[in-house]
Amino acid sequence: MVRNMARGQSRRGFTLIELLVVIAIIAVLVGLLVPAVQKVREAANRMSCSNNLKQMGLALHNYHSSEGCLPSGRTAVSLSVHAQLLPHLEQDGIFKLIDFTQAWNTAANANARASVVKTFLCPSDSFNAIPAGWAGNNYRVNQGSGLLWGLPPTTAGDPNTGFPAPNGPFFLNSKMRLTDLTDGTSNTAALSEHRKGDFNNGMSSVSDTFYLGQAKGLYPATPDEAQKIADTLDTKNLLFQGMSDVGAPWIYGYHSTTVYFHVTRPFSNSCMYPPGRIATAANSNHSGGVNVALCDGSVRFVPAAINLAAWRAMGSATGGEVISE
Amino acid sequence: MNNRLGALWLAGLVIGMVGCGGQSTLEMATTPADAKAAITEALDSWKKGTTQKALAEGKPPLYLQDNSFAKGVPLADYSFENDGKVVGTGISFIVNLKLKGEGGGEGKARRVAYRVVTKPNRSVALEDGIP
Repeated sequence: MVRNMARGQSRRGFTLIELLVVIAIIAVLVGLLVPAVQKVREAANRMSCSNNLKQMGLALHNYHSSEGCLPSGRTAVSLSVHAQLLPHLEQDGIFKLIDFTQAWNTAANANARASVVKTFLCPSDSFNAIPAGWAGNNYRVNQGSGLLWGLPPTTAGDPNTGFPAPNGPFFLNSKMRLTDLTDGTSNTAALSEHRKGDFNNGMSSVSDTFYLGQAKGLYPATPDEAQKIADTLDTKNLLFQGMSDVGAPWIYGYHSTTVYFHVTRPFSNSCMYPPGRIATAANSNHSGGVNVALCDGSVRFVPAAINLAAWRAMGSATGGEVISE
Repeated sequence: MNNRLGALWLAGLVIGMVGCGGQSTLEMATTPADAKAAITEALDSWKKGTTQKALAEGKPPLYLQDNSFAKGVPLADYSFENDGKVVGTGISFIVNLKLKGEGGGEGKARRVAYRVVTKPNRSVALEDGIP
């Protein structure tokens, strides 16, 4: 009797087929769910990134209100716009660590150089490993649609003598007023984004700045030539690897850390053409485009396939171009 | 006990998926000894007349990124001004170069800095300024 009861109460287990069916159903559900979750995560990251740019755009306006001009693209000792904006981003503590008479790489600025500012980091950029003592950055100020990095030289024989001066709102010692932006603040880019690099000149990654100029035909005379070179560059060739400090430290006002150009389309290869010519491009890990903060403080998502003329027009502050939507 | 283990596992999974954010530290891409050996080999090769392409095709390859070297300007001599300092993931050396002029005459002296890494490849890259 007892044996019969025990037999009657014994639970029937799942068969192998049933288990496999359940696992298959779970796998299908996960397969459907994961891309959806990733899409939502990326949308949230893109919004967060856009918010960071908005904060920086507002900080530029607050800086203008208090100083009467925008911060210079880089100071005489190559400190960045980011360093100058800190008090307007509620980062007074880090601002006080900076000695503005000393260069970015001096011992006097070591603590600031290593201080992470969350507003400077795009959550979509998963590359968060940075050399010791440095803090990363994904946002860059717009130097304009010209190729020249510094101010035009006046020395006879210099290949850049007579080259047009930078036409964006931020360049060496620029200190422009909003009224100087004759194209209008809503037609001129202030900031965009750039992925951090690998910090290693012994390897190549897409977000690096490639060092050209040593081979014939790789010294562009015009922005169009620069676009052509960037489009056809063999990025795997390690002979094009210069020093690789892309995206850190934010305190350094440099074309590979805190400044970008509107010479080439977003997502083009970033290149430096010594002597003196540079075209670092905007890029991001967002699907299909980059966030751009305009000088009026608004933020737009610009598609990667933007018309090149419109992109360059957005880069110049005084070109008189009309940007179509 | 099983419940506690399960909860820990789940918490680990969630943290792993969400990510802890922030910034981590990148490992150095060389050691001081390897970096010094690489830059010495690169500059000695330049002095001997090796081309940039030949150096890059050597076994193991060595990449020396310098405009003058790439253009074939001969190197008469060089001297190290420091023993190298850590910059980023590499070691940066300040070097005084004596370049030969056209026809083997006296050329320009240049004070430059090179950033050296040896992992995953040996690369000696001219710095933009002196760090």
